[in-house]
Amino acid sequence: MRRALAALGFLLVGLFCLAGCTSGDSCSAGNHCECSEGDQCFLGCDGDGCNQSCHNMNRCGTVCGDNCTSQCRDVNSCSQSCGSGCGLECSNTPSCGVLCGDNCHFNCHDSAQCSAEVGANSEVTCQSVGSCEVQCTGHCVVHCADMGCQVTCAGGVAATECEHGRYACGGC
Amino acid sequence: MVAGHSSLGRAVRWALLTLWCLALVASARRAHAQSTIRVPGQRPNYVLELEPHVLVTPFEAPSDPSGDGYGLGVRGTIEILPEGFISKLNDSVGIGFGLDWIHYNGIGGRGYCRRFSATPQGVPVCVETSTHSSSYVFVPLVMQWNFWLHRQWSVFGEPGLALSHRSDGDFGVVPVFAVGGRFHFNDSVALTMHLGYPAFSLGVSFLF
Repeated sequence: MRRALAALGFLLVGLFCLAGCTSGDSCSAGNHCECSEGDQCFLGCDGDGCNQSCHNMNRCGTVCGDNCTSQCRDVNSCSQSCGSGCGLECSNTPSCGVLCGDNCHFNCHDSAQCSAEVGANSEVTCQSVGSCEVQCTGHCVVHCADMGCQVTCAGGVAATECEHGRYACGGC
Repeated sequence: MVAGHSSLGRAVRWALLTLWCLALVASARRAHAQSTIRVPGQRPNYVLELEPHVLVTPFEAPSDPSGDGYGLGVRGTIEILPEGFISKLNDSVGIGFGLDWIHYNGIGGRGYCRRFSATPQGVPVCVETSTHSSSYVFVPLVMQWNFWLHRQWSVFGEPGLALSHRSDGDFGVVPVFAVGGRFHFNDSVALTMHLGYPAFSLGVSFLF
């Protein structure tokens, strides 16, 4: 009987050790959340204001509400979606896709393909890219001096090239 | 990786687990005098082992960054080689199959993408993530190699494969490997533990 109780005790302690520390850290406003070194990962945010980062992965994406920041670098397929007031950056990626609301600041550099839809009063910068395709749903400014810049405004109208490498929707 | 506060907890957990294993080994050494490992056939006589169990896992889900998990399951094992692979040892071999459900807690807001949208140029963009949790069903198929050490103790190794199915879609195949032990209350009932991937388990075995 003593042996049976000892065995049961060992097993219960073992189970407690294994189960006692399961945790579920959340990514919430003001927190930095990061994915790296793996095949794929998608970061969410509990609401607004997260600081998200992806790097050195095959596929990675961030999803956030308003006023978030997101960086994505050295990822084969990168995606970022965000509400309004966000600051997004893609670098060293074959493909970067962005869906962003109003007052969005998106910087895409050293990448093969940058593709974005941004809201009103947004600013997009593309540098050292193979293609930079931006659709603005309101007033916006796009800085793109490379080949392959294609900026369209609401309704599919081509953006105005205000000066070399600077495009705008809704007036220069 | 995700910046988080659970690394200390993990270290404590693994330290406690190590102590637990050492205590188990010490207990087994005391039982050496009544060893049955060199007496083939001196063990419970059964055809089917049925083992309902609870599961915990420190490993992430097969295709998602997901954090730890817990769950429930059942394993059935049919004895196919009563004499085992080694004639001078009290060993036996069975084929095990089962059904395990594991809920992964999620960690750091990481997960898989529930829904993609696309930019006007057709580049996919994730717009909704699983964020915090996911559930999987595993259907394992393993070879169970048993060693009958003592009237009340047996241990085993279990290599195999499992079909995995995430609750909202993906199917896959994952490797299964576990070592485990049983404490036999009598010839028909034992307390059984598996340590391995994809999960650890604690259950009660009924031998028929």
